[in-house]
Amino acid sequence: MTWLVWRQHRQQALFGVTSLALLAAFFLLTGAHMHSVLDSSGLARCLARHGNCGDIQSGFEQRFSVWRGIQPVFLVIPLLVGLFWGAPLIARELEQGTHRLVWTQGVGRLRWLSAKLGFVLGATLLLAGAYAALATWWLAPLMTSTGDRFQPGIFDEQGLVPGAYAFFAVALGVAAGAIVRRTLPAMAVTLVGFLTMRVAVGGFGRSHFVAPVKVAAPPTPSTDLNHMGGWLLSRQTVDGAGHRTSIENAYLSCNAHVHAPVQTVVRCIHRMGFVNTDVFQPANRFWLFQGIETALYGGVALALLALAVYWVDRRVS
Amino acid sequence: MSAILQATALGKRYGDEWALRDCSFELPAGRVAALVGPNGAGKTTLLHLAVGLLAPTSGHIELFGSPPRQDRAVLERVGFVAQDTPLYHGFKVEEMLTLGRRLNRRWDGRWAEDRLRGLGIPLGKRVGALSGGQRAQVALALALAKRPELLLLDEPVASLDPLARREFLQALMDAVAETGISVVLSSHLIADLERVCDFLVLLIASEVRLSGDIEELVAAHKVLIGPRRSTIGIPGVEAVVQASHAERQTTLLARTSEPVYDPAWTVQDVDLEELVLAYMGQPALSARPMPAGPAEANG
Amino acid sequence: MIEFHLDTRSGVAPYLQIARQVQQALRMGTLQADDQLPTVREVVGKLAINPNTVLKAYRELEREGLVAGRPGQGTFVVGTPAGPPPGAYTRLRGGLVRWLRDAHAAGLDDESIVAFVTTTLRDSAEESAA
Repeated sequence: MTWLVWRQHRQQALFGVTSLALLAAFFLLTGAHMHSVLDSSGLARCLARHGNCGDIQSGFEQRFSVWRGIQPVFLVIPLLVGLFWGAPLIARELEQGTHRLVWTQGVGRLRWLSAKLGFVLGATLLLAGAYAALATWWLAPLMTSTGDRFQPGIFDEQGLVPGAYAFFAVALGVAAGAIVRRTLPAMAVTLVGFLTMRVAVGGFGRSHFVAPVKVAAPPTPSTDLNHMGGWLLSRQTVDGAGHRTSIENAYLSCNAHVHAPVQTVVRCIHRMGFVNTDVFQPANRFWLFQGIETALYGGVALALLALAVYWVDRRVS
Repeated sequence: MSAILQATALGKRYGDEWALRDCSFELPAGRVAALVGPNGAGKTTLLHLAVGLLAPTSGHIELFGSPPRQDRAVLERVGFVAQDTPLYHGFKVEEMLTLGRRLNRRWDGRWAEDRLRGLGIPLGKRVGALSGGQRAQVALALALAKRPELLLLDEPVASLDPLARREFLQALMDAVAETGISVVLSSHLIADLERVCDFLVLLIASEVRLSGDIEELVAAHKVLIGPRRSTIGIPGVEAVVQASHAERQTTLLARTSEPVYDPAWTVQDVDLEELVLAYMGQPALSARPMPAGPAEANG
Repeated sequence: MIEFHLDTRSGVAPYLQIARQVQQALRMGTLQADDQLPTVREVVGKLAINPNTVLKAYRELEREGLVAGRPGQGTFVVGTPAGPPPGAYTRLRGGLVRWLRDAHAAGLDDESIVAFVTTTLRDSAEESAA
């Protein structure tokens, strides 16, 4: 069975490994450069001291803005694995009737299925794991520079979740293929299902994984309004009369723009009763959220795989 | 002779639709059986039940006395060629043989290789580059290399041109002569199988309408031509399969239990094709018992 | 060795066709004592027919005492069917060819010759029965 699975899928495997190797070469070359610039420019040390790194930082950002621009490409990679490894895995066999050939040899359908699933899921975890580690390392300098790794869309490109997305995409493709029985429609279902899940979790579910932190304080210059490395969910600023305003308005009202002494501005803001309320997920929850999201996708993936196994066992002839 | 394949009240339902209903027959060992019926009559369903691809909704089917769905070991003794002879088109012919070797405990690869070489099929060629006839031959060799005792083929010649069809049946009959294997072939045309089969299972509208030794069936059916009159109670006639009436003359295709001596009837032999067509022409369910008055049909 | 052929349109059972072809060959002298008949596999591979059909034909010939199976070797001719000796056909054929020439000269075409032969055969059969 191992021979058959390898013979059938070696081209896909080879394509996957080659793509990963090319990506790795790209990551290592450009990533090493970013890491070294982060150190040599002094940005890393400056940020570590929580200093005002304006010029060094904008220099760094300007230099690597192209790399920041290609980040969205990373979001697509797990989906591709689901489309090209997951969806055809069973659908192509059912489409061409070759499952009947194999099932009527000396091999039961469940052994056949577990060999195929073992191969493709193992390969997915291996390659997606390697990819996620590389991507995380590569993104680190950019994340250090702006501290936005918890932001939606950026959170999704690093850590554990790329592997979980790929695993989910493959499971979705496999289940869709078993039920739909044709490769192209299975790919379409995978595409739609994957995007739906990603939008639902990323856009609505994730912010509720753990109750966010709520902090209400006068928005003085010494208050932490950046939540460096955290995820700001909402911000509301009100004046002394309880009317909604913004931090910029508060500063304008207190003449902060004309270089008034900080003490004066702070006193002014307190006196006028400005209060800023931030709702956010703090930076130290990053790995907790990675874990929760990974478990969520992993769980759904396992349910889809169970469905695929049930379907192949009971509903396919 | 012991039954190699036995169906008892076998049924398979998809949703509300019965693909096969109350199907009972026995296939003795050492026969080449034709499973004949119009498209959609349930031939594929029956074969899939036989090789355990499907589980019966009702009744049961046994190969060598074991249900194939529960007892996978029995499948080692069965070769199956599914409709459209599915093969991996990206594989070379020799890789298909490797597949067979790796997936089966009993395997005679050299025999299969010799056989394919003898047919002039290059082992190094990709399956996708072969002709339809060659692909069917590869599928047949693959099924036979298991050294099965029973071979089931689902419409093996339907998509082949006449020459490839003949070559396929030659190869199949050669294997039968060599190994004495029992065979079931399905087809919607009896003409394809007339020469090679000695047993018939006729499946019409999800039911087995007729089964048995072809020679006995042919011998038992006669065409009776006589003056127009009632067809009830003709001595020797067991059942009227088909009746047509002209103004003064009645023609019957009937199953007889003994010779018809009534001088009013001219008795003629039938051939297999006529026989099958007569049964296929019957309206479902209504046919078996006789009452067919002169007013019933006009031909 | 002889080769068999089948006429599927004839309505004659295939095993009978094979048996008759052997009988015919014996009468014509193309098969003689100790000649081997094609093996079942050879016939089957050629005609794409059920091996049981060939076996049945050979059994029928065996029953008539014309052939015998030798274990491990095949089926061999052991006798000739009752009927005129082989030479008789050659002699009769010569006469028939002369008659055919006469018939053609008299204006009969092939179809009317066949019809003529058939009716004459039937008439003479009825006469001898009567």
